[in-house]
Amino acid sequence: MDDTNPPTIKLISRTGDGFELTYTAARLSELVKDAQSCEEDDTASPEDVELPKVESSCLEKVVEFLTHYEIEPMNEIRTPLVENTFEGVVTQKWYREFIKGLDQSLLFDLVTAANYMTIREWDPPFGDLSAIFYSSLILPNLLLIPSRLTILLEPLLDLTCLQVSCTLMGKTAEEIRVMLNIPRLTPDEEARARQQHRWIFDD
Amino acid sequence: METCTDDVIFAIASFLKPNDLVNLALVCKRFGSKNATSKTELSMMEESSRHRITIATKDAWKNNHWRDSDLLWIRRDERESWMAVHHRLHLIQTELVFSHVIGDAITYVDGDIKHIQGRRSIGGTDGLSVAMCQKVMESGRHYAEFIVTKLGGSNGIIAGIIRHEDAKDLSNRKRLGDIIHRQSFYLESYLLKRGDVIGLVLDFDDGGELTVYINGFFPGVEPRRGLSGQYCWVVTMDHGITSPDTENRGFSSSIRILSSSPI
Repeated sequence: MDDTNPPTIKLISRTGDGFELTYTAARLSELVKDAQSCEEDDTASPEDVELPKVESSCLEKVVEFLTHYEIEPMNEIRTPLVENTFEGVVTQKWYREFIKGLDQSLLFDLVTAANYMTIREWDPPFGDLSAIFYSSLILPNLLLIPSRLTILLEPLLDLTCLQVSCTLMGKTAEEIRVMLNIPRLTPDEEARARQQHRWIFDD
Repeated sequence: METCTDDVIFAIASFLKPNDLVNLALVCKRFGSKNATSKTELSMMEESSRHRITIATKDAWKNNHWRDSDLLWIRRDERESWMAVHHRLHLIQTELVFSHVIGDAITYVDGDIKHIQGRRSIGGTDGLSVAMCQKVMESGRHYAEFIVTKLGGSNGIIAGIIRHEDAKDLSNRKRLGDIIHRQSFYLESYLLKRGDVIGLVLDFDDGGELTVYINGFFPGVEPRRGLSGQYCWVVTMDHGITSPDTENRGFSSSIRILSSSPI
C-alpha cells in the first residue's frame, strides 16, 4: 500500500452524487466495511458503496464527519451527562461547530443515517476478540440499546442524538409536540399518562 | 422524530433525565404507551429507564461500590414505574444524598432523600440508627456540608465517615455505633442551633485527615488522622432512649445535605 496516497472510496447518495474519502475513514461505517467483497485483502481497491437511503446533503455531512474523525477522534460522551448543555458536554470545538447550525430536518436525517450506516469508533488496540473485555473495563457506561447489543461506541449517532436530546431537555410535552409537529393525545390518553407518572408532578 | 426507528428513539432517550423522559412519554402513544410487541411490554420511555437502571446496577457491581443487596435506593416496588426508580438513580448519580437509612430512629423528611430527621428510639435496644451517603471516597480531597433544619430534643449530632467495608455489614448496629464514634465528631446540642452548617473535609492527600467546621469556623475539635481506605459520609443523632410510656415520641432534630464536592 502506498502511504502517500491512501486508498479512497466513493460513497454514493440516493440521487447518485458521489463523495470521496479515504477508505480508512469510510470503514468506520460497518455498512461500508461489510459491503467490501475483499475486506481482508489489503491490496484490493475498496469498492464504492451506494447508499440509497441517504440524501446527498446528509451524506456530505457524514463524509465530513468521517474525514475529520480520522484526524481527531471524538471523545466519548458518557452518561449520566455531567452538563446540561450540548456545549458543556461536547468539549471538542470541531464537533460542536459541526452540529451547530444544522436545521432540524438535516439533524434528524443525520441521526437516521448514522444509525443506518452504523458508524463505530476506532477498533481497540488489542483486536476484536478483546473488544468486550476492553470495553467493559475501560468504558463502563456503554450506550446499550435494548434491541441489540453494541459493544463499541457510535460517535456520530451519539453526537446527533445528544443534540436532539438537548433540544428536548426542559420542554413540556406540548412544547415537544409543537417542535416535532406531532399530534396531541386525546384528553383521556393524556389523563391516563399523567396518572401513570404522577410521582414526577408531585416533586 | 416520529419516523425514527426504535433504536434511534432509545439512543436519544439515553441522554435524557427522568423528568424529560416523562415529558417525552406524554408526547404521543408511541413513546409513552405500553408496547405490546416488546418482550417486557413496557413503554419506550419505561424501557429506556429500565435499561439505564440495569446498566447502573451492573456498573456498581463491577466496580464493587455496592453489592446487589446494597442497591436499596434503586430497589423497585412491583407497582412502581421504572421512571420513578430512574429518578432516584439520577439523584444518586448526580447529587449527594442519604442513600441508606439504617435503623428505625431516622427517617426521611417527606420522602426527601437529602433530608433526614431523628425520632426518639423506643426501648433503644436495637443499636444506633444512621444515615449514610452514597459517595465512596478513597483518594483526593472531599467535602460535604449539612444544614441543621431543626434542633430539638436531641443530645447531639454525630457527623463523620464510615468505612465502606464496615457499612456493608448493616446487621450489627451496635458495632456500627462503636465504629462511627471513632471516625466521627460528636457535636453537642448546645454548640448548634437551627440554620447552622456542619462542614466536613476529608483529605487523603494530607495523611488521611477528617476535619469538622461549624458555619465555616473550626470549633477546636481534634481532627481524625491516619485514615485510609474507602469511606462514606455518615450522620446520626443522639436523642437518647425513652421508655415505652413516654408521651413525646415525635421527631427531634433534622439535617439536610447542603452541598458537597462533585460525585
